[in-house]
Amino acid sequence: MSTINYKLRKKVSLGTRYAILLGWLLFCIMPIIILVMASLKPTSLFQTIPQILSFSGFTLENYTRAFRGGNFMLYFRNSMIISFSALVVVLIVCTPMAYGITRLPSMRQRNIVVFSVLSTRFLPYVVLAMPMFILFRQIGISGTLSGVILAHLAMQMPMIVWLMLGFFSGIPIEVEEAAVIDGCSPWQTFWRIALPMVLPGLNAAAILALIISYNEFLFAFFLAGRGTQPLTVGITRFVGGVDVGAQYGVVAAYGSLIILPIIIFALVVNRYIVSGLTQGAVKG
Amino acid sequence: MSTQRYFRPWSFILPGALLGIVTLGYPVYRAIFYSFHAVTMRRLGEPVFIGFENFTRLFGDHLFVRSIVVTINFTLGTTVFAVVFGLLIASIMSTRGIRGTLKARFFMAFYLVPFVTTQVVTGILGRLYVWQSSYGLVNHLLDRVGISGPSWLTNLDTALFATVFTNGWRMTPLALLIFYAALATIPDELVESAEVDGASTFALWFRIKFPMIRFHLGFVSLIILTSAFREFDVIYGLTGGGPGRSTEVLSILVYRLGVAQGNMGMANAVSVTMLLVISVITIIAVKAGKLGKMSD
Amino acid sequence: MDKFFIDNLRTRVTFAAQTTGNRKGGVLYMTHKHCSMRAVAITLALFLIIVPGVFAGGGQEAAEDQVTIRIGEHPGAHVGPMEDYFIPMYEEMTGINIEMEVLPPDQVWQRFQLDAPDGGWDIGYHSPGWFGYFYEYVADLTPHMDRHDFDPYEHYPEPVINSHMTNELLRPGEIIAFARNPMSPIMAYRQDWFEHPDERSAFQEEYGRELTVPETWDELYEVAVFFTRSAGDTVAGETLEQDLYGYSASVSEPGGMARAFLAVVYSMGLDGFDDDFQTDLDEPLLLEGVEFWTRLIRDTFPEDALTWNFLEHVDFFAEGRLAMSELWPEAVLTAESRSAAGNVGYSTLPVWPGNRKDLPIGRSFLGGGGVLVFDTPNQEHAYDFLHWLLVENAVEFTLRTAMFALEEQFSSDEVLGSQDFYDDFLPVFLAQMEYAFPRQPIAEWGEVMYTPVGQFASDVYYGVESPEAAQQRLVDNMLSVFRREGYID
Repeated sequence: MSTINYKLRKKVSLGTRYAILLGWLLFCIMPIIILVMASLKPTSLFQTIPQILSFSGFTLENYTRAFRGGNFMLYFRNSMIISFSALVVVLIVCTPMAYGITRLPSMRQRNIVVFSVLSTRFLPYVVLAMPMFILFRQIGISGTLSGVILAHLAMQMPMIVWLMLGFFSGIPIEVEEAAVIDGCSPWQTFWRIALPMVLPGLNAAAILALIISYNEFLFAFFLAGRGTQPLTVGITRFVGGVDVGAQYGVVAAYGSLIILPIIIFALVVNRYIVSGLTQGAVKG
Repeated sequence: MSTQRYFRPWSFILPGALLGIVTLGYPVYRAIFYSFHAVTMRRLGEPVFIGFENFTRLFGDHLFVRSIVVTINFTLGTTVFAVVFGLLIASIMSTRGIRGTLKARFFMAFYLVPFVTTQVVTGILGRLYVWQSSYGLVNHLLDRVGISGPSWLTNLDTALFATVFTNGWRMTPLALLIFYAALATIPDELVESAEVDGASTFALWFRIKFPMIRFHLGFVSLIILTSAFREFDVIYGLTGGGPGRSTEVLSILVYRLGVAQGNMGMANAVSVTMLLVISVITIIAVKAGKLGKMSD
Repeated sequence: MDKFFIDNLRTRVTFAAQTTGNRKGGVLYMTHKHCSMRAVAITLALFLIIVPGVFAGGGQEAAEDQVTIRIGEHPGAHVGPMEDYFIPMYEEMTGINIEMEVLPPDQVWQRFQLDAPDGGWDIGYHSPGWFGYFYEYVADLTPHMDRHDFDPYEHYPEPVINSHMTNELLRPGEIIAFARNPMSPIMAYRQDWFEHPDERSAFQEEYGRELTVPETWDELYEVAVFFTRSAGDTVAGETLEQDLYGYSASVSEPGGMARAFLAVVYSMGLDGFDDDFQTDLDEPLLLEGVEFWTRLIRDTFPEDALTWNFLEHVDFFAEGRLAMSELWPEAVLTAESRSAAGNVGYSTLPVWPGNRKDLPIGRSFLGGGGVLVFDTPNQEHAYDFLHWLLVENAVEFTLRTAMFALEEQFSSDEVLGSQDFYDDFLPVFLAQMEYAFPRQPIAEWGEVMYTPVGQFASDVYYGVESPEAAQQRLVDNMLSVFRREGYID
């Protein structure tokens, strides 16, 4: 075909393009592979890249040490409780909120509410973490899971509302108007008509929120206390080689234990992440 | 439109708004309050009002100014990195023959890995295995092509580059994904007809593709800009703000002042400065990009 | 407006269909009932995941009459033996439940400061200088020691009691902790290289004197430069595969830098501040010290040391890539491993010629720490456990952890016989402890000395500001903190 000839002549060939994409793929996952491979090798500061990547001398020693000395299960439990609690509260509160905003009759009101959501969307987290640190201390919830969860709510709310705004404004209001005329209450209209239509969006928002909470470090670092730290804070204990010499292998094992579940989860629910991340951009 | 009042929108908004006021509004108010007070870690309950003293001390200190410069470099560096590479890969992915295929979906799934990797682990991994001077991946690769790489993280001139690169690695997937989705909406016929008309690649981009993804370019830049501006985790894990304060962005400065040195008043003054900057960026973005029209 | 809305909508719907891969071709075509059920199912599933998680948390709380001792620990060589050996044994012996949590090292004192007022911990840990952060909440051990008929003054070396077990300013007349791993860095060097004839003659030729273990900081600089070599050179007759460095400590900013550089500051005879809160850090001598330190790092340290936080350089030493190394005694087992095993010599830190206090050897940072009991209803049980662990099982504890505090640990034949190098190592350890620098027992020590001095050395090293400006910053910070606390006018 002439277009193909034209393309071959004028443009980069398909093979080259795939090569570039493959290169980028390597660029994306190479550091992760190195971390995982290093975690399976004996603990040592001094491993060259070929040594790390070689398929010999495997050992699980680092993992046993990470489990034993790292309170892995406790921190994992905390990570789960924090992520899911924040997620549930945020979904219960923010989904109706986003719906309400898109159904505001006055343009001016709507703009004001949207702007306040938007302005908190970009808030530097450290601005919140500092006063929360002091506040929680004064009201006696410093170092508790509730404190960290509250902070996660603050972090997640604007993002979820923002995402759901996009999804809700994407459904035609006529259906709901018909429902109202048929005698549905506002709550019924929301639950029966609007919510089902944004379910894919809701999934996307929930999954993104879950990933963000699981990965979150700053708030937990400032606010978590005895027995309530999540995994992201747990790993910092191994950094700095305090535990008799440097244990880079143990750090690698702990790091792998943290990131592998979330990466696998992300690969499985990939399409929801894609729709969640592109929401608000592609349709703007 | 008139039926909308039957939806009772405010009753849906109220719980969220209350939660927002408690978890967002009140801490922000306290941050502003503390920035005008002397508060220390040991005496959190006894703030002493000192007016603008925290701010005058801060702005009189060249280290704070330095930190602002570092933050600007870091933020812009990350944004440029992510947008450039995101656009490059997205444009390759959206070419005919690749776009929409199973292979493309496979690539995209793995391209998201840096974005979902726990940030603090990204930082630690970068420090121990990627940028480490004698055993790290980067210098190993440079060695292969006969260049002896610098010790990235202990050198004032290279540490910020390594930090930007690492954070860029993490943020690029976001840009890549959105650009890909945007480029995919450009109809094939449009591009083909332009090509048949003999448009150069350059003209194709500037006449057709850029105008069509202008909004997305702005949107992606805004998201990455704001998230790089507040980045803490990656830098904390990678350099902790060093060497020689060369990667000490404002978030790290807040941590150093507030937690490491126990001076909460000064730390909150830095926070409030960040708050002002981000407010200005948001207002500009809303005015220029009509982002407030999202809900139309 | 409406037209815009509809157009917009069309793209949205198509896109949603593409990206979510919904087989029915778009969200609009789903039946409402079907979707409500899915929403319910998802919510249910979420709760099913959370609820067991929360209850698993609740389930860990022990029954009411069960005594549970909650220990907050610093990471270290003791963690493994405690978790695997001592705690299970004690639990079985007494039926008491022990929960130990190891905290990230740079957050230990912060955690105790925050949680101690709420009674969150029964047993904690302090390194000298941290005590001020939570001193109000610590139990006096004297009555408990009486209960066990234990007189600490008969069992611990005097400097150890002064540094880790009492605090005359904040808790006068009380015993505040058990010393567990008091220590102060010494110097380790490669004895085999120092004794090698090739090295000795080469050194003699270059510097006109014999190659000896450095006794002054200037000698240390010379010897360190002498041993700093590139890959391909030889050392002690063997060809180097990788670069060799003369001396190192872990000097990441600000903590590592603080610990290592404070050794120089104290070796010069400076105190930071005196009993009247007058500082001596404003003197030109400090600039001399930081100039020397900068030169030493630049010329002889491996560059990676600037990212190392605590003990990484000891690993480097064991690997045969360092000729001399600052050595925290708790890392001695690491130093005596791999290619360095059996070849390590030990020495006290070098002297600073003409120092203010006529010190015969260098001073170093007093570190390690003691274990303390918080003032909780559990304190009796907590003390009993510590007494069992650290006094009754003192020798066993040292055999398993290489941590020393009691006289009987230093002198036990069983301990001395367990490692060949203890005969050389322990006398140096004790000699250095005599000259370790005790931190002034004020709550703000970290705020005026530890963090800012580390930052000062880093800032000068990297040229962030001139040494004079950095010194001014250091002094200003100290004055403003002292004024704030009302120590000075």
